[in-house]
Amino acid sequence: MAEVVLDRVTKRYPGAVEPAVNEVNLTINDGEFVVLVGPSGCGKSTTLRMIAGLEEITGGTMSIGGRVVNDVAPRDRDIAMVFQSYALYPHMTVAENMAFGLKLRKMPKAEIAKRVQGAAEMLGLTEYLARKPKALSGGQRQRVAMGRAIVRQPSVFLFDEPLSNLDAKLRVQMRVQIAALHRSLATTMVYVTHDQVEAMTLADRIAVMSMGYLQQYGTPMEVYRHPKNKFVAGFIGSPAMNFVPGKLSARGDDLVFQGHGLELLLPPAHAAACASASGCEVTLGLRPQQLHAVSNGEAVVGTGEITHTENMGSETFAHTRIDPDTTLVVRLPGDRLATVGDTLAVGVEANRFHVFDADGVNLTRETQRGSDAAA
Amino acid sequence: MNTGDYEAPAVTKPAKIKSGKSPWGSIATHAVLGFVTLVTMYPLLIVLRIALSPGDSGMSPSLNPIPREISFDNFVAVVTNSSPQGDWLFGRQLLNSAVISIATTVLGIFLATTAAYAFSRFRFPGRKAGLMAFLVSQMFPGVLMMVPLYLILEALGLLNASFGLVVVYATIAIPFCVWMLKGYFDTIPKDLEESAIMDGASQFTIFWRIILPLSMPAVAVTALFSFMTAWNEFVLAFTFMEEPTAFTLPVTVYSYVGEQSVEWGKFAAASIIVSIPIMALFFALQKNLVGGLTSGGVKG
Repeated sequence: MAEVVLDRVTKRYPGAVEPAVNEVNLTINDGEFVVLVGPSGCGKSTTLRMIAGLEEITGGTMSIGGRVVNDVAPRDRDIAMVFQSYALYPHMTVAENMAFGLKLRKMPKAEIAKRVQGAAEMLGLTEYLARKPKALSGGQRQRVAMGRAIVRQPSVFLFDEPLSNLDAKLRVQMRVQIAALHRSLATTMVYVTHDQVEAMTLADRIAVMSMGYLQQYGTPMEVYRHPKNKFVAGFIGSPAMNFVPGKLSARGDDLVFQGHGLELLLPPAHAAACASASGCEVTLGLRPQQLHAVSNGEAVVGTGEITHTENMGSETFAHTRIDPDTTLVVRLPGDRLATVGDTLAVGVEANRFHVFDADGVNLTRETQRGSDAAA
Repeated sequence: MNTGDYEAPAVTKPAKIKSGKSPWGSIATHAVLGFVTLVTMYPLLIVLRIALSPGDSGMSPSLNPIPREISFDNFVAVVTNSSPQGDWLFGRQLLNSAVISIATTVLGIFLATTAAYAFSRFRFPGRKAGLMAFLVSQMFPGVLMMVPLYLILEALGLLNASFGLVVVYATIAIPFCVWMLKGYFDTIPKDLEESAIMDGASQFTIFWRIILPLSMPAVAVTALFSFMTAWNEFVLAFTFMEEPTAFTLPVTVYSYVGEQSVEWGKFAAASIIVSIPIMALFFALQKNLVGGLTSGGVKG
């Protein structure tokens, strides 16, 4: 068990203009499940590989369990890693695959057998121990890869997109299994994925990365409800947040957002937070889940024609064109019939929207958090 | 997994798909293949006729590959060939060939696998130049190297010594083996090595316990190539070896070609005997060979 601390950790590849990972600060508490999430090339895998020791750190300090490990070889870091490709040794049986690391550590045979058996039982692999990896299904291989990590009893588990090679149904099953594994082992786990559903469902805390920078680090709900900036807001949440560019302008004592067929009066707390941006170009962020069809005379923020619908059964996402350049995705209840070509008047839940300044910073984050706390 | 009340559909045997081709196409294909095989095999059949005929009687202008009379005298004479002092020369020469070929194979494989692994996995100054140098060395005819090699072996005191030939043969075999093995190592995913690193393996353990066992098809090909290089080579062995007791089998075969006359029967019998171990190796490694030759280039 160990705490992992990244202090201004930087990775710069030779010849690269920009660092792949730029001064990332991250504290992963003992026993915590942290998911590094972000689009391809954001530096999440590089960060994980630096924790593993597979990539050299070019700046900053990395410590595991209070020990600085910048120059410590991977095998001496007491960590285990599950690879995206599983990386099982094809010429060894499942049991040999799991035992390989223990044999190298010269562990007594009886202890190795006990640990392999224990992990196999935990993962439902007992009947496959004598098989070679090629005789296993994708899900079974994935479990062997996890078993290989478990038998080592490391103080930190690292997962590098372990579920991305599985089909959707199996992925859900494995997600549950990984969560159960974390509950039973209570070991520090660092998990890399580009799938925000995995991030939201597995993590104690999510670290959202982009272009080598850590954008936000917080609990899944914190990151979802109070995104620090436009990138995080757009990346976390499905379907993605609607962004509408426009301008803030004063109308009497109030502040009004106008742009692309949309007009919205900011509530007093939001208005105060955005006062500095009055008269400036901003972007309004609206989650599809916080938009609805207006029916009983409440405020309409925009009206438009439904151009496309996605019926999910329990809910329908209606793509509504409120302006020639702007389409809002609006969540409607599953029982509400939405037809392409219909006109939809869109309303927004009071306070439940975000205003981003020209640099993408969420101006309404604190007031949003305040109003959430009050609620 | 909850399968509920789901009922699997009844499984029916798929109907045999008819290719729609007429049997004549197949017959024509086999006829062509049979003819080409015969053309390839014909000279060998003539050699077999010469060897199996008594004395040199098989050496006739006839194109009939079947000997008029079968006799194993030539084989017996070749195998029992002894020196005037009564030493069993053939046995000695067979041993020379075997020792030199096996030693060449072992040395060649050891040097080629380690070098190829370094070329495949590490980035170091001179890597590209080294690989190119190996390639370029293959472009010169082997005979060109005879004089410098003779001088080097003489300087090292390795003329007329089996070890001298081993070194020379390994040198000849290594460039091809390195390229072949490097191509194969390149296809082994790096993840496997990183996984082994995380498991606590050293660089040597990774090479020995992960990479090599996974590369057996390519190692088999290179082993066969090294063995054949040494086993079949004639010109260098003939030049560097002076004593009949130091000869390898290809030199023995040539010894039946005299200045005054040629003992064709023994020559043919010796040729066949020399080919037997190579054929046996081919059969033994057949499965690996196909895999090794194709998998080097294609990632699969």
